[in-house]
Amino acid sequence: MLDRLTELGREAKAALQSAASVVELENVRVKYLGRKSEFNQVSRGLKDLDPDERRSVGRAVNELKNALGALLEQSKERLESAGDEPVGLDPTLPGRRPWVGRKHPLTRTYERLESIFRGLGFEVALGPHVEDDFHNFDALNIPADHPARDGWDTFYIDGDALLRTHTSPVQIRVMESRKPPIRIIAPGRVYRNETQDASHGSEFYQLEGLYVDRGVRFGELKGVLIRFMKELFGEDVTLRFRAGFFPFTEPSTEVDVECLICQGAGCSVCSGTGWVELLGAGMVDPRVFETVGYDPGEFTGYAFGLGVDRICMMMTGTDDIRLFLENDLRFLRQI
Amino acid sequence: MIVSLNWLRRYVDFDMSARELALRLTDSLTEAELVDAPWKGVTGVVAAKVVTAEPHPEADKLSVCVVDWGGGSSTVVCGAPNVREGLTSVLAPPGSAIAGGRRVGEQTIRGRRSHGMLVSAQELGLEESSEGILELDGVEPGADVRSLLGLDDEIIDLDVQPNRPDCLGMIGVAREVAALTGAEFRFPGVDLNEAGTTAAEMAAVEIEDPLGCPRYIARVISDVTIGPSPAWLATALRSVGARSINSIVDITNFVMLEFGHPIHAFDYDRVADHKIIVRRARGGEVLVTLDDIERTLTPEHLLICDGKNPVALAGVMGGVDSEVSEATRNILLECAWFDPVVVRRGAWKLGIRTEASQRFEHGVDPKAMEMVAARACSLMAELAGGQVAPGLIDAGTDGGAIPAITLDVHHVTSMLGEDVGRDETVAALRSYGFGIADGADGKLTVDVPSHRADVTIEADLIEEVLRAHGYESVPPEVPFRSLETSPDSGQAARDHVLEAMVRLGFYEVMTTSFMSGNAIERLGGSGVRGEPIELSNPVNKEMPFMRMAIMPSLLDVVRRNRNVGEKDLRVFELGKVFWKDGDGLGERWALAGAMAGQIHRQSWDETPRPVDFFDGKGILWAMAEALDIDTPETACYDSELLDAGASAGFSVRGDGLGFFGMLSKRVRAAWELADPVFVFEIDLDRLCGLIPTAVEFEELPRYPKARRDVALVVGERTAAGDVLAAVNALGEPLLVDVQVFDIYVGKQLPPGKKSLGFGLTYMSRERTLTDGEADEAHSRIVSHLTEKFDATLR
Ligand SMILES: [Zn+2]
Repeated sequence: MLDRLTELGREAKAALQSAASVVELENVRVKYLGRKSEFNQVSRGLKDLDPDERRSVGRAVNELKNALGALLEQSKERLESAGDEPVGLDPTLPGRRPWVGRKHPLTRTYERLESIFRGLGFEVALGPHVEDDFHNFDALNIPADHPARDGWDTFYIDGDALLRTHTSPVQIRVMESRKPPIRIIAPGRVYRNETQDASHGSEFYQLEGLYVDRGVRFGELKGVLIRFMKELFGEDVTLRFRAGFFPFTEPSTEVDVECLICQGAGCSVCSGTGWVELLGAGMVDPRVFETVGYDPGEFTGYAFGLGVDRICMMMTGTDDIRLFLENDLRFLRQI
Repeated sequence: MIVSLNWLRRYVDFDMSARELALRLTDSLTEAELVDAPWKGVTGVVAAKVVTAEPHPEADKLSVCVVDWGGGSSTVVCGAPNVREGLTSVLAPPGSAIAGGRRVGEQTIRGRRSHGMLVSAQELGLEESSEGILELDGVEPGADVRSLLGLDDEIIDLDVQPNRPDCLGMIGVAREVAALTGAEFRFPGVDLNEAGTTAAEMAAVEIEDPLGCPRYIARVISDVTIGPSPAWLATALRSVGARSINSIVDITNFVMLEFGHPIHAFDYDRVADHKIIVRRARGGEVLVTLDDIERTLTPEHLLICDGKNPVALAGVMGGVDSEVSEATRNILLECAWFDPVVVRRGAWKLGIRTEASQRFEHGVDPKAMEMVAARACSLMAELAGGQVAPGLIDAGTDGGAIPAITLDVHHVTSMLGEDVGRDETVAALRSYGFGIADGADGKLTVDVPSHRADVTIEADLIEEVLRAHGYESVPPEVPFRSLETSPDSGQAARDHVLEAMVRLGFYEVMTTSFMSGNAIERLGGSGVRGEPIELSNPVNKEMPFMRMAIMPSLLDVVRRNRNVGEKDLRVFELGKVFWKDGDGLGERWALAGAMAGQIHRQSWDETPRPVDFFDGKGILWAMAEALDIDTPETACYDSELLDAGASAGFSVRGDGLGFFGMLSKRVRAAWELADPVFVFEIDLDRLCGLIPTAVEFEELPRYPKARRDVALVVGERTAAGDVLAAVNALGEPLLVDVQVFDIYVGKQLPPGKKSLGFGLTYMSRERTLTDGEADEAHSRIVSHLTEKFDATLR
């Protein structure tokens, strides 16, 4: 009798432990612990045994009943907490990932710049890539046959059509079409007929800024550029304003930022100078105002221009400008 | 402009390190870089006299010399052809260093001990190449040759901007240095000792083209002896990378570098009739220039001619025939003012650019010409023993008086945002050589010095004040006056498209705006309008056109990536395309994309499958959904670019915006792409125009939907799209959605037939539909379709 109980106990334990669902568990319970189960019959037959046997079998029955009851509860908990998942799932297998797209590094850089300037109250203006001589040069105080034109290696089409060499003609187009106050940025692709190398592309990206109103001052130009640089590179950035020359601004200034790579100690990125040229700027030349029909006695303004590629290179450590137009996915993925 | 600090000290004294000077010039003028001179690292060299020089017993070309270096004598072996007894040269003794810091030691050359070496200009880094050892006449043995040879000189490379041609001369730079250090600026000395026949009697000048040459000064110097230049002159020229030729040529170069004004020395006796005529060239006229090249000229060229022939290309280069030579005895000196544009065009036409043409192009100072000519004459008298003929021949005009500029001191403040003050303003302008007089109402009348032709308006003067005051000193202001902004230029809509494509798993790329002729052909007219725009001067001769479509360069991206093993790709570009037609030049925005490789990333339970037509089409429709553009349509599209069986047009409300489909075999072959590629290109401007700018709230539906399915057996050529269009065209008010859920072709159907399964959803916004109402609407649609498409129900 005791042997049979031990055997029943073993079977019941195995069945309870291996039950794979709540339903299966219930079947196991009915089979081993239900009213019609062999175990129940044994307990009911206890009274027919002699007292000695009744005592020892009775103890065994009680122990087994408690053990199986506890095991039943445990199994129930286990199955309920497991929810409806199928058995045998390996959660360490990779999930089915969809493809993830990505914006071009220059787009992301530009978006950063745009959001800073929008925060400073600038709106976006755009212009054509195929420009004319007037907007690209003459109106910007860069006359034909003047050595100042040597600063721009130009792609010519025919007649006076050319590919814009900078985003500055957008200044002219905006001023021609509107009256001050004007506060714009003009981003976009520009073209230079230059031999390409790691730091020069023949197609690259600029961002131009222009603010014209009554009483705009050089100090404000500095204020805006310093604010911009701090938002872009952090509050610790160090700038240097020095003399510069652009035919369409007077006074003109070149703005350097202390090399972020070497913190001004001098390295290959900054050619050992500790400074990197990042921006050109100045107060709009009165001759430019005259060309677009603004009264230079009434309005003043500032303009600035920067290279989007250069800023992206500086921020990411990319060392070859040509990578931007090569579109190697291995590059696009990392930058 | 290469600036030698030793040379600069001829005109201004400054006690500032070269590094600090470079920084100060960078702040107030233009980028100035302290560069390593080639002679950097030379130490311990002394003047030494050759006492004896005997042939080396073991080698033909070597000499064994005893040299006296002041404190004693040493034996050295020397291979220079010019070594000889009595010559004073430079000894690099053991322990000294020559150019590049190379150490000199003792060594045995073919059995003879050499205690150091006699050195050449090249070995000291003074010249790029030189023959023989240095010759220093009249220098005592043992003398320190560092300053004599300029070995103590420091060099600054100044990035002179087009507005400051005065700084293409040492004197212009010296004026800047004087202004920023407060030191005094000195003109170089002039001592003419004129005597003999006057210049006017000896020569004549005639200007036939006063526009090309507003002013021409000629002077005559007789009885010159042409020989080597003295050490100081040769050293000065070498310090800025020029070569010493002979005293006369060196003087013309030196004066050009000093004043930034090029001058020319003719051999007086080879100038026919001793007469100078300045005129335009006649078409086809020929001149052999100093570099021995025969130049064929046009009327765009300005010539200097003698009584018979052209003798120089004005402002660019002299001619061979009147060149100064060893035999020259008398000099006709030219100091002229040529028109910048004439010189620039003339030089450009011949593809040459010289130190002279570059300076004339930028503009010279016509009021300093007497001074420049006198300085050259004075040096020719001093260094070549010449006799300066009294007077000068001066033809033309110096351009007349320079108008004074009125500067309102308050404008300095209003332009800079800082009150610099009247006194500082005046001091700043004076330091740069401007003359100041008080005018009415606190305004200043400012006289501009003739070498500052770049200053013509008040703003130019304010910049001068700012340069002196310091760009760094102006306090930054953070303004904020608010401004009304106007609606943007379509950028927001394009950003919306960009975001949608990225969300659909695409990588944005940016490709070149240029295109090859081949690419135009391969495109077969797809998505292009007009004719291509051609560049007159492409940087890459293979790609002379502006792109008419993005597709060719996008396919280059696909190929490039496949070649590096990136085969699964989904890329797109938003960019400009260009064309030319009857209305002129045009440009617009386009959106193009490509998908290739596997449709899913590699996974443990998915069967790999390459991208197909419907994957791509799905992307386009999903993009439209993301942009709230409803019901794009599939149109017919025929193009050699696409596979005939898998090509279609993308249109919205009957308006064709572009194409999509699988790349044709022929085009894939042209781009060396083996596997299927889905591509599309769409007119982005028009797509953006379809994006709704405002959306309106509509009450959420409160009643349940009812779905009814129907399977129509139709002819196998019946397009599912036509059936869908017919359903929509019916305008059933209760129908809210229709989908294709099944297509069946097979044994259970008669040949030539297929079954299309449609799921239609009905709903009312006013009440719960009864089964009867839904069935009624459904049967209206079904009977319409069976009739229209000759269909039976399956
Ligand atoms: Zn650095």
